[in-house]
Amino acid sequence: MTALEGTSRQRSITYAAPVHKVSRRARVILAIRAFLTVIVALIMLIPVFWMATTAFKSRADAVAVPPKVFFKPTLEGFVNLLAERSVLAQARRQEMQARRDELSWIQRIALDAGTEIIGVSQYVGRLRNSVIIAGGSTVLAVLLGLLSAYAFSRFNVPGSGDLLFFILSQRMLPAVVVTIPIFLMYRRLGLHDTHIGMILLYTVFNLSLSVWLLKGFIDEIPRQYEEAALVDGYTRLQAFRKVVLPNALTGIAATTVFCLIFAWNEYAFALMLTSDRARTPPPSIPAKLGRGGIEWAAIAAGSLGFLIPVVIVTFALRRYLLRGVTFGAIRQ
Amino acid sequence: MATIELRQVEKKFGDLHAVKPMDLTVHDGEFVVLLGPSGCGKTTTLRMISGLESVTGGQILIDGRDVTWAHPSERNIAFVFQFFALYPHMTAWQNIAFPLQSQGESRAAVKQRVAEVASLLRINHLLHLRPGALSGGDKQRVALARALVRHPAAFLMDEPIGALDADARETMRAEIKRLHLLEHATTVYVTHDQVEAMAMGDRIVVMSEALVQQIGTPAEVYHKPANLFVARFIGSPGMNLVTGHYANGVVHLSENSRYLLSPEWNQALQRELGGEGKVILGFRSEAGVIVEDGPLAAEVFTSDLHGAYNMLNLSLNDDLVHIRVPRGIRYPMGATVRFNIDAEMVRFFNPRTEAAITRRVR
Amino acid sequence: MATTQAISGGQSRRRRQLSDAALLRLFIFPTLILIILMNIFPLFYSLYLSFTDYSAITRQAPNWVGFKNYSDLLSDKQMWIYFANSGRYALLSVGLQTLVGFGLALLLNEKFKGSGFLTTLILVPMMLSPAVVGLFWKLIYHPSSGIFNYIVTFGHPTAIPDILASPKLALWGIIIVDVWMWSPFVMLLCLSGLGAIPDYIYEAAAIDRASWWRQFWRITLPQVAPLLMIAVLFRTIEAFKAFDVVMPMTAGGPGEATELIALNLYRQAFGGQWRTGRASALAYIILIIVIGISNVYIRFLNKIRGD
Repeated sequence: MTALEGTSRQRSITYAAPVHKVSRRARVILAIRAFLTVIVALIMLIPVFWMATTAFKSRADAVAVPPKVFFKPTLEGFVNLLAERSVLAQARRQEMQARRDELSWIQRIALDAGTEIIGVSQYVGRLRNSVIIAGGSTVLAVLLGLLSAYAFSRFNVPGSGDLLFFILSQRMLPAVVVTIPIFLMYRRLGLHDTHIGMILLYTVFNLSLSVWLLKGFIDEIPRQYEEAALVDGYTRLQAFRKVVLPNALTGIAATTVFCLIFAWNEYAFALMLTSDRARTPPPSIPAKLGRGGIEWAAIAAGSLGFLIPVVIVTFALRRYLLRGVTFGAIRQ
Repeated sequence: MATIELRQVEKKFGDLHAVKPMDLTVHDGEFVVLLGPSGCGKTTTLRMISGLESVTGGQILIDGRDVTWAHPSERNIAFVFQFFALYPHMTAWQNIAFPLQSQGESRAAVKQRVAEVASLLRINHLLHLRPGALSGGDKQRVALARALVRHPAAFLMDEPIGALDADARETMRAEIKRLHLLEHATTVYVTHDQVEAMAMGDRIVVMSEALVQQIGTPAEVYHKPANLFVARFIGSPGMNLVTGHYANGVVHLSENSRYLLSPEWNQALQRELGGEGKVILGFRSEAGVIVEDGPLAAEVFTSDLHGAYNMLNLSLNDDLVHIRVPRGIRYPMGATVRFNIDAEMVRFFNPRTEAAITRRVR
Repeated sequence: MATTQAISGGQSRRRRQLSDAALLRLFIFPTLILIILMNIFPLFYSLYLSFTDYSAITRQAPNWVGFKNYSDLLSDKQMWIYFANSGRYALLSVGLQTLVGFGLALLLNEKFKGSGFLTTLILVPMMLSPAVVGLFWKLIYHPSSGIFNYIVTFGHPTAIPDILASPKLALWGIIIVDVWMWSPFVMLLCLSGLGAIPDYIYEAAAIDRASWWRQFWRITLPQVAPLLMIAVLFRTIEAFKAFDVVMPMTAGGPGEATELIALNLYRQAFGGQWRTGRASALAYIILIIVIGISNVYIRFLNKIRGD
């Protein structure tokens, strides 16, 4: 008995040998793939890396020839972005230099660049606008989108296919097509360059995204959950609140973030429909062109403020990215 | 507990009937099974009783009260879904307590009731788990507990064990039966599995193509199918059906197969077919008896061993006929065997109307 | 089985259905009203404006001029240059994105340790703010202090001209940025298409001794084609709308080398010219082009799916 087992094991070893060879080849191919992928990813990330490092360069390092990969990091760019400065005259500069130890670290950074901080820059206000507009429009778009998505998902809405496609098609319009009439409308209504105007506009443009995304998520919640609740003595509204909402939470979170990103990144509408009071950073970063040439470090600093949240979000939402960028039309 | 009454209830989607007008009375404490192939309207019927689907005609009464247009929550019924429909964001305990909370019961009362049904279903140890952590059988136990907890007037179950694996299905079938007896609960149970229907139902409603084909006890639908559909659908295998020609008290099935009718049957066929005509003869596989000088002849097609018995598949004309024979006997392929049919178990159908022919005028 | 109740109003005895119908209206109407106010009405308004000589900075009421704006635009040789720019831009950048994106997807389709992380990293560019990207690439393209020329020439940046200042290369400059930003999008869709191909098809092909090349043409490509087409459709529409990246980066220059149609529309509508009527007409022409392209794609897509 044992002898028999022994021979059969030996046999299996000889037969297994070529299989082993194949798997080694497959492993080599996989390693090549992995290596290539790493290279591609690195190349793709060079601009992002460059943006991130430039933010910490001094004004001179940012435009150094040849470009500097290694440099002495400074927060000058951020100070330039967020603070209003004046150039110091020689005498004043020496005087400031003398009592350097009494200055705050921010003032010291400004001093090193030969300037003095005299206030908060316009950019801070622009950031605040962005928070208000992006936040407000996202809350509205997700709220309204959730209600419509539920209705489209659960009721027989007459002509729902056409309606849904119609809602989606709004997102396909070139922004400039609707901007002209909206500009005229807003001017008449006094909504030009206001937070409310921009919130409304972004809400509408995010609605198509949020309705489609959320409908996809709600479609995935079995109807039986609500039906069970209905039979168990709850009204439809209660069933919506107690059963649908808790189960749609991830979907709601993903949708919220996609709407936030759109509103946060938006450029064309902001450029055409705001001038100052409601202007957001994207159209104003390009305007941050200092007198003595472009302040690349400051621009990079501003861009980094946009970059970091986006990277975090990309990783947090990796499972839902495909849905997000295809309006929920395609699910993984 | 309660009676459920359906009066000419129908459901139409546009011009299409999902359920053609049907009448049905489910008595207090009765276990009625709606049985039929998928798409026959059985689930729609159940959903109309629950109020999850609106009717397009007729009336639904629960305990004599017209609930045709009442909201599901006002009907005092419990629904058990095929895929359990347990709320995934709640623990088993919260799931079971959920229906009670809608009625604003006190915390103590809720606790007590949940504990009661949990021990009835022997799931006390699972109450802290979410549905995701439960096995299929346990999910369905929790779903049953959720249905029981409110003492509803009636239970509506939509293929409650259809999603379970074979083992769990056997166990749950017995448990549902036990609960039904313990709680004396009026139950309407939907399934497409005729074995399940036969095992569980006090009465079976056989449906096909939106229409009720027959309502009867398991024995009735098995032995006295109302029409060809029921004859084929009930039983495994279904009833043997052989087309023949009736004339002068004899049904001619093939050259050397002629079935001599009893006087009662002769009378009935005479009345139904008027002298002579095509008729379908039906009998259950256990009603066939192999005898050397049997009046019917057929050729052996194959023979399958079923453990306790052999199933002999014979070809008669173009029809395949199944007959149960004892284990030991072997029949070579292609051989001709002669058999007879237990006179009490033979049935006849009118091929034109597909309805069963009955011996006595009702 | 059948869906829930159809909504039939006006039958008061149907208490539940009525409440469902009311809920439906309550849930859908705010969205529809907002879309009608902010999208439908403006669309018709600008259609009307496109037939007038209106300018938003004058106080004159609009004068009806019929199809004059349209015929002027279509007979204006300059406009054809902008359309040609947009066409070339769309063709080249979408074409390259498709190649790069599909290639990346093929590369990443096989899972290995850390491939999920790398995939997500590669996806970062498409989530960035287009305006910020456009502006920052201006620095990257800078002939002396930018890294693009430096890397491409392996340390001899002057070996090639300043890309954004060269009339010949500037369009390529914006194409490269678009490809960098959006190839990941095509990759994402292709990955989902590749992931949906069941393994047994490849196993069957391997048993039939189909070569890798043959497997690619007969299995992989046809299976991914529908999703690839959707990606191409999305990107083509976006290419004709392209504004956010190009405006801060080149603003149409040098000369009119990168003056895409959407840029020119902005210029006519707002950028100093304020020819509102004419710009509206141009907006409609772009809209019609976008709709036309979408239709062609969708038909093609349906044909692929029909096979």
